[in-house]
Amino acid sequence: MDIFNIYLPIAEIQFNVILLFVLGFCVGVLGGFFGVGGGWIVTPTLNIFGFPMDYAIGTDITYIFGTSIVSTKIHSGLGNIDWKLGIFSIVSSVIGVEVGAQFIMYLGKTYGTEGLDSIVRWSFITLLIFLGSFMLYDYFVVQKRLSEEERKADDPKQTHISRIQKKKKTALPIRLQSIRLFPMVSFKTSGIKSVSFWIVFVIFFIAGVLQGFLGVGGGFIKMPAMIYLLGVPTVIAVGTDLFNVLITSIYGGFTYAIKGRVELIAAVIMFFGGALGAIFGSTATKYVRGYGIRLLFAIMIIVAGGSVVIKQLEKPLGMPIFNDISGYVVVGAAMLMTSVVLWKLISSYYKLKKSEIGFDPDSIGKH
Amino acid sequence: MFKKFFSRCLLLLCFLATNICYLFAEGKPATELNKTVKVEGLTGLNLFLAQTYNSNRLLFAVISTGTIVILGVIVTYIVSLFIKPAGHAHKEE
Repeated sequence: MDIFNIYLPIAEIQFNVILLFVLGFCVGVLGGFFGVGGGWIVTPTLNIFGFPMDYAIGTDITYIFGTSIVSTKIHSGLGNIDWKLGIFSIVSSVIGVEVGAQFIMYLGKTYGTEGLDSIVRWSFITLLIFLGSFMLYDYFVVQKRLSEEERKADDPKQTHISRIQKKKKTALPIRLQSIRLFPMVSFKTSGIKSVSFWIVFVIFFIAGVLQGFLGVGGGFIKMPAMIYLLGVPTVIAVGTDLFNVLITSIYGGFTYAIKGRVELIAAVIMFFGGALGAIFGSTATKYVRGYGIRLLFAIMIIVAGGSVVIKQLEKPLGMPIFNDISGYVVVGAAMLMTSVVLWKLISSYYKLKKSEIGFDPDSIGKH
Repeated sequence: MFKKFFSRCLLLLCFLATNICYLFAEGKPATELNKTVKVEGLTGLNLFLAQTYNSNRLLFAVISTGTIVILGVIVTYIVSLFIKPAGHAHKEE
């Protein structure tokens, strides 16, 4: 495999070009499909395979910026981006990020670097596992309801989804939208007729605080927040979140480059893989139902939470190997999830083609 | 739609330009950031990047970000030529 090694002049290391391309591709698929940047996959992987941590972060954020241009464009073509909500989310979360960062500074002064590291890591684990479990629970509750409705209804195909939606309308987003606190705003693309500006602000502000506190891109926080708190349809949440990632990562990439922590050649190679992956990932959202996306996302973030738990064992057990195992878990899960998304895309595409050839009337409007 | 997208990219570049002005106003970067990389034995693109990195970090940042923006826009343009999204995605679960 050494013949595929290239010299990276800024990080001053040899690195396998195939690995960079494949890594970029996998994260491109997942980013386009879930609406996340994927820094939590790229950074540990680059680090495990020899990138110094600061270069891994800077290169990762530059690459994410590139692929998010492609994903955002594709989602924009699919009508999946609520631009207005996206701008709201950016402004509100930037304020939140600053508050989160200030809180980190305060904790650092109070508990020292090691204490802070532990607090942040355990908060991260708790958030990932809570969010993942909640999304899994939500998925299975809805699936149970669907199967019950299917059993009862005479014409399940046409009625069961709307019944479930009626049940969902009593949920948190509707309660939040019923709070009349001036000024009211609407988000047409997301189907939100009227919601208080302050509700939207507070949701993204808190997401921003968590983002600043945990030091992550925030895609995996904002995407579920849009779905479960604002009632934004899953595919719109994915597209809007990618727009958010694009804006924030352009600044991140530039500031890391100024600090000299961007390995441009690696970022460009990963970008080509990522752009290709983003095409597949973004297009897959057209074929996979919203709840399917949520299920896969929930599994992915639980695995990510598990990998941080493994990493956390490194110090108390005094075994540096746990750091590597944690990275391999994330990479393995990312590759597996990429295969699932691609398989879903290909199988749905062939089903659609088959139904078009066979003039199956039931297939109309399904995709 | 594509014109809109380009105008948004242009806005992003303006955003970047603002940051560049800010950096000029702030003066030199911190000392610990002035790391240099070795240029001996390097040729072509590697040499160019390493020399730029060592001599002008701001230019290096502009090249890094600009390269990704240009590649992103080119790939996006190619994608839009080959992939015509058939209708809109399902917006409800």
